[in-house]
Amino acid sequence: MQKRGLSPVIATVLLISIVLVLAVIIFLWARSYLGETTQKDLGGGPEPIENFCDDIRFDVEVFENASYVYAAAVNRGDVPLYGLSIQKKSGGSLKLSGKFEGGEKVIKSGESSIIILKDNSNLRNNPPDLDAGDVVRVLPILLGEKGTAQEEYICGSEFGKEITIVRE
Amino acid sequence: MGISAVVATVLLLFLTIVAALSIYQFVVPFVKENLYKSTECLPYQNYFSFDESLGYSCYNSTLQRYLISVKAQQEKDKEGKVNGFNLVFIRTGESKSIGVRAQIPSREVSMLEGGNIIIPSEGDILTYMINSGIIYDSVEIYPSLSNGRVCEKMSGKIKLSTCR
Repeated sequence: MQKRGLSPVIATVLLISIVLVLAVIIFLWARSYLGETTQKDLGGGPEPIENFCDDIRFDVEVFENASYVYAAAVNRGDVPLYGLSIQKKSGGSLKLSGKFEGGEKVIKSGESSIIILKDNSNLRNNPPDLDAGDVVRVLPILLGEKGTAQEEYICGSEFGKEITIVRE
Repeated sequence: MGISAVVATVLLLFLTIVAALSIYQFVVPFVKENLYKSTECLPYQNYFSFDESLGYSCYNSTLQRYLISVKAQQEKDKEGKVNGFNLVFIRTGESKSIGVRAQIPSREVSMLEGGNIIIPSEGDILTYMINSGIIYDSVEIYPSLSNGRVCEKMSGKIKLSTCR
């Protein structure tokens, strides 16, 4: 009887290719269901950005003078600060007044920075409702990466500082 | 006698293609829709939580109202897909669900600071007054999505005590 069919080599190659194609299809499908997380790398390899919040050490004071309401922040830790998120406390609420990114001027370890929160000479563009005597919670903002894009991350309230705006 | 091998092969191929098209037309959308429904609440599992840092989340016996501080996660992209939350008050043998929706007035819910009912966004904490003369043991919070669905899995739970 004459035996016919695929050679074992071709059959194996076909099986492996089918398995590989199926694996790629399943991977691509499953990946869309898994949310990407924001990561940060400070030299020790990428880690979820929220892990860095615990290492932040910073001091901040908020002042009001005739021209501005501004925050004076000093980074006393090793994690660079990208900006500050200010929440105003009043009665039973704590509401976001604004996020103030340093932009190019990331506050690196040991550096200090002045961040303008409100320009009293230009109150046209819906300025934050911040005045001397207000109690604010200042939360650090970090800059991480999500895929190829840079993304900011605001650390939780347990990493923030609650202070009163002081008139100069 | 029977059909020729060529006709049989063509028929088989034709049947396979028709079957594949049927699966693509009906089964795939069906699975996708069910998969979406079963996963749409996952990102909001921890969206709301109770916060005690403002000194509330307790029962004020003078006002005969619960003062509940609710905090939203710091994620702006999730904000538009949530239109409120349900608070479920629990005591032995009884529970009561109260819906809190933005801009929808309610006899049972008001803002501690007055004004229209608003929902916390992007890390905000807001305190609500819940009108109730019954003492409950605990309260749970369930996010409500803008499509009207209230997620089945609770986002947070807190034991209730009397305000100091």
